[in-house]
Amino acid sequence: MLNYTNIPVIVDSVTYYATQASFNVSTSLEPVYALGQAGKVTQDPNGPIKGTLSLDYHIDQDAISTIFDTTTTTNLAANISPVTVSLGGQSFAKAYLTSHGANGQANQLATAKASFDIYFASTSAAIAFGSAGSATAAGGSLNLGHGAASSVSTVGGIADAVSFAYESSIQYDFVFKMGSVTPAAAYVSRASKKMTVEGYSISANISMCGDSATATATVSSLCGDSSITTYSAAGEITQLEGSVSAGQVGRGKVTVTQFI
Amino acid sequence: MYGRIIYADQKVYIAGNLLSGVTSFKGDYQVPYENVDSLGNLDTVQHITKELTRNISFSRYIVGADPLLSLTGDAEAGGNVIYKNRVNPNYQNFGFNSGYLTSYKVSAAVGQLTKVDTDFVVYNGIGGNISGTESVIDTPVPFSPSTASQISLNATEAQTNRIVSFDYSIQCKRMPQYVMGSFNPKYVVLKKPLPILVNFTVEIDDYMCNDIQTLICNPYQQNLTINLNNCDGSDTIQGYSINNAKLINNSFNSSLTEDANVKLTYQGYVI
Repeated sequence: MLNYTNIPVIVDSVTYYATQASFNVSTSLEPVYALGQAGKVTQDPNGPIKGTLSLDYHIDQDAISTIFDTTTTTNLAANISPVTVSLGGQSFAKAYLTSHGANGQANQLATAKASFDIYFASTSAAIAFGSAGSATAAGGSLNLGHGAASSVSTVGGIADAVSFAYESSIQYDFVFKMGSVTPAAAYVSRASKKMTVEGYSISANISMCGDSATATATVSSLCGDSSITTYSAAGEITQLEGSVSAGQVGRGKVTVTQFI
Repeated sequence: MYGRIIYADQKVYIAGNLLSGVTSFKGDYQVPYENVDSLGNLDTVQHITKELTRNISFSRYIVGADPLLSLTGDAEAGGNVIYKNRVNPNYQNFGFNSGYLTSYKVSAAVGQLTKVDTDFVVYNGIGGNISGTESVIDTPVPFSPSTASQISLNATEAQTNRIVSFDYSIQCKRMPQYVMGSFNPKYVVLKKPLPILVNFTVEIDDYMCNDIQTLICNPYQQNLTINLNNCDGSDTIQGYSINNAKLINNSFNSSLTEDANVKLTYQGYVI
């Protein structure tokens, strides 16, 4: 048994202040049936061993955001190289970032999240979790992103944001070839970024053909000297919301989506 | 060094007014640091994870028209208690800015001076070297306390029975609206209407409680007015009222040591 203090989360050689992490790995075995045979004849794989890994973390830096930006800009048309993700003593060498997001809210620590698709290099993989742990990681930066120090640029008439929610996602075309169980290549097929900003009032147009807008959230720490990271979606306004309930003040949300 | 500071050394200013008859003052704040647990890490990493808590409360005798009753609206106020070097520009104090009244409660009883308890929530600075931004009126209100014998209360229960104590309270719920980038709210919204509660203790002569079944569709209500008068009763120094106050609580009490009495609560709202 391992305590959480012995299970660091490392993505592409960077350790994160993760508050939650999980993975699952599964095969695609399917039964094979044949006429004249009672029950299954055998079971055969219908694809490679695949898995997913997700984590939530506090923001003292956000190199995963950089992975997303690099993948969807300079490497957009290139064969995407996987990254290595480890959870305690278990390491996954072929992880592809599929989603990344961040949330900030007044008075609270900012948080981020990410998920990966996992592939393996061979037809079987040894998985060990919760037994052989890693040494407790040394403390990193004490400056975590905080809503009371962060800011969001004016968008949709919201000059004073109450909160922001940033989401980005990547879909891949994985290329397989005969004789191999792991993707021979991976290319980005779809990617997008979306930022929802909440405030006390909104003033914006929404258009069938798209109304351009840019939403940028700068996450900073309370006592740090400079911003930690920036999340941005430069695209079109795709959703406007307004809500109010008895006894409360009205609130509005503007969502900007950037298709890549 | 090693001196002590007694009540006589202290002056309390609220909203620029030097208050008379203050019996207690309390200011407190909490910085909600919490350890942030993270995977693979046993360090103690403490961060502020929620809103700051900042409160002021003080109690006074009613000694005249109360300058703080007007703070039940949207207005904010600052203030401080100066406890050392009070005649010296380098005084020492505990003060606050952007305080909002959250509770105002007047209470009186036979044989006692009328008291008022006030609570504030603070949405800006609180601590030493903070004193509010209002111009100071350094002349205290003359100390002329209100006593129960000078109070008139028009409740119907008082016509043939004896009201021996009451309290009147206004709750001002403040809804701070925070935005990113600050621990102080951008806006402070007053939740309206404001609830007003009046509690009586009535020693019974001929009072008989309503049957609760009759109150469901026919609530018992009345307009209540409480006047605190000057010593000879010729003038009202402070009045409180509540219109269409509904009887919401009725507690009949009898014991070996007390006269039979009933405690009544009326509730109303002011817009």
